Amino acid sequence: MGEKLLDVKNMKTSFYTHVGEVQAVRGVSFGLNKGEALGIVGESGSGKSVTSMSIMGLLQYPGKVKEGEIFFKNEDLTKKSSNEMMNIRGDQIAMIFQDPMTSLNPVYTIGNQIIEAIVRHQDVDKKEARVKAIDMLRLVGIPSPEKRVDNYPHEFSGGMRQRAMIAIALSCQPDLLIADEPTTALDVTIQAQILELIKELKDKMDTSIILITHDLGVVADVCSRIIVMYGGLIMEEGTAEQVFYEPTHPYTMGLLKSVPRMDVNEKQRLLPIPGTPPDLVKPPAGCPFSARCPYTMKICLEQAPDYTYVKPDHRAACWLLHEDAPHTDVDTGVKREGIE
Amino acid sequence: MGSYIFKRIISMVVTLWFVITITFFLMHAIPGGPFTREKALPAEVLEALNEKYHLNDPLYKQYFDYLVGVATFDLGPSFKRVGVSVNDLIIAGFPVSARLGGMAVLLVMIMGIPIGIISALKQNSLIDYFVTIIATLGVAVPSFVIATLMIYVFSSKLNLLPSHGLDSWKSYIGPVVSLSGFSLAFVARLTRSSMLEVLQQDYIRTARAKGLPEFVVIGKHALKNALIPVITYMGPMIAAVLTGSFVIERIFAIPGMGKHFVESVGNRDYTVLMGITIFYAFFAIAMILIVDVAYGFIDPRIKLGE
Repeated sequence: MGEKLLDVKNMKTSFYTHVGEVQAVRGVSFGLNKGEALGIVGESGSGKSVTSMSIMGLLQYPGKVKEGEIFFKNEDLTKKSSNEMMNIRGDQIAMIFQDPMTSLNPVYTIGNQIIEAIVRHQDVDKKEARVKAIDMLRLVGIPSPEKRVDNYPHEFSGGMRQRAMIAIALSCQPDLLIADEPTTALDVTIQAQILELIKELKDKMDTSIILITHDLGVVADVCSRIIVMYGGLIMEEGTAEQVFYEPTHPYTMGLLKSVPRMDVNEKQRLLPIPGTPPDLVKPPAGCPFSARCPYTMKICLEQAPDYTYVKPDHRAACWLLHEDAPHTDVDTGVKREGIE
Repeated sequence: MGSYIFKRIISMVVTLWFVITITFFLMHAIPGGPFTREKALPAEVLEALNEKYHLNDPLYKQYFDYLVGVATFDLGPSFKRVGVSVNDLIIAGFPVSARLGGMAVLLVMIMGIPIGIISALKQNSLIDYFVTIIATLGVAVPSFVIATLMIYVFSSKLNLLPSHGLDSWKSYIGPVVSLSGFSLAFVARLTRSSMLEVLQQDYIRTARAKGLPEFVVIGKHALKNALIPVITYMGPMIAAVLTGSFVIERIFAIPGMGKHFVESVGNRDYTVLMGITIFYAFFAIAMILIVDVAYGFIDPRIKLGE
């Protein structure tokens, strides 16, 4: 480990709409090592999906990466032509999406849709690709794959369709798998199975993973490192333990408090974060979370905070961490030891 | 599949029977008859004609005789053209109408669908606006206006195309363009809106995420889904265009089925009127059946016969 696979540097992505420039991602930097699983969490509109689409080069008009670099295997993806990106997509970087019910083309068989990806990127004929497709379906746990390969998506259940999506994504042994809310549309028992499958295949195929979700439980299970995004910026980054047990950003704490827990009194209410995310057409001058933060100070409204490194691998963008900040008693939301 | 088609054929026969019955009795309910003249025929002549064509029989007998005729593919003699049967008229007229209609259908498919696709891919561009305006005009302007304009501009003013008949390949241009105008515009609009909707679907994003080139994403993944509503429209459209538009055939003086149809109404030529109506109905029902079967091939979610 330690070898950098992906290095995103100050990436800014905007959508140029008729109401103005929507600054969906406003300068994020993060890295991903080989074999690592990184979780990106945040609520809707925080810029997590746009980040992944920017890396994939799948932004559709009027979206555009306007600044920054995305180094993948030491090559800047923002400088690649659309043809070069096409060769990388599906081969070295693959993606699975939120809704398996709509992510597969209803008029082609599952097999056809896997074979097409294999034939596109590998030097095999259709027959060999079919054998491979069946192998992939077996790998993702589809029973009797020899028969199922000729089924249409509507003959698969939701969980099986997501398995088929994973089979498509992993069919070319990508170095990086981006999973954008892979379990959101599935029911809880299937969620657990799909996560288990992703974890298992990650080790088996030596694939690095970026898991995007708003479900903290999901990332805790799979990821070793977590990025918390808000308003198009990274609020906090650290290992899973650091983010869950020693959160330093009030937004992270807010997220933790809004999740149901097994270890607290069942009569205790969940604490939602009041307010709504900022308007990214006119993003606030200061910290994007200042309007909803319980500890807002004057400076939070005026100037965006820089990152403070609490530990070498744990950073957060919050004025409370500044050495001149008044010492405040902060309710971290962790409260008790021993959260599972 | 086999039993499905069998069931559909049975229901086709029932539908045809309804068409025959309704047309037959409505037609006889109209005052006058095939031999009514301004200057009345001598009573003996009228009597003899009615006798010859069995018009003196009670209505129910005429009706059953006619049903038997249809069942044996004999649509009877024309009342107006002595010695010519309705079968002869259809055999002579349909190929002309069908050739013209076939070209019109072809034009609709090879122009309408690609224009719709290009317009959708270049949404909100100048091309798109241009196509939208022309297509709206095409749907709004009736075919006889297009036909008249074609004759006025290309035949009368520019002297490029003949104004009537079907003597050379040039003479097909006017009728085919006027005949296909509405359908072409309609198909282009339908393809465009259907394509735009499909391009927003998640599976298009999946296809792009696989690294497929854009022409595969559009040509394979988007097109097949986008064509489903277009095919729905194509069935009845093909039936209507192939059996001939009597307006167009009239304007360009083309001896197709449409011309006989219009004349037969004015003449009370009962058998011709009935025969062509039945032929048209049969054709329309058959086309709809073909479209329904074609559905099953294009969209696997549609299971026929269940």
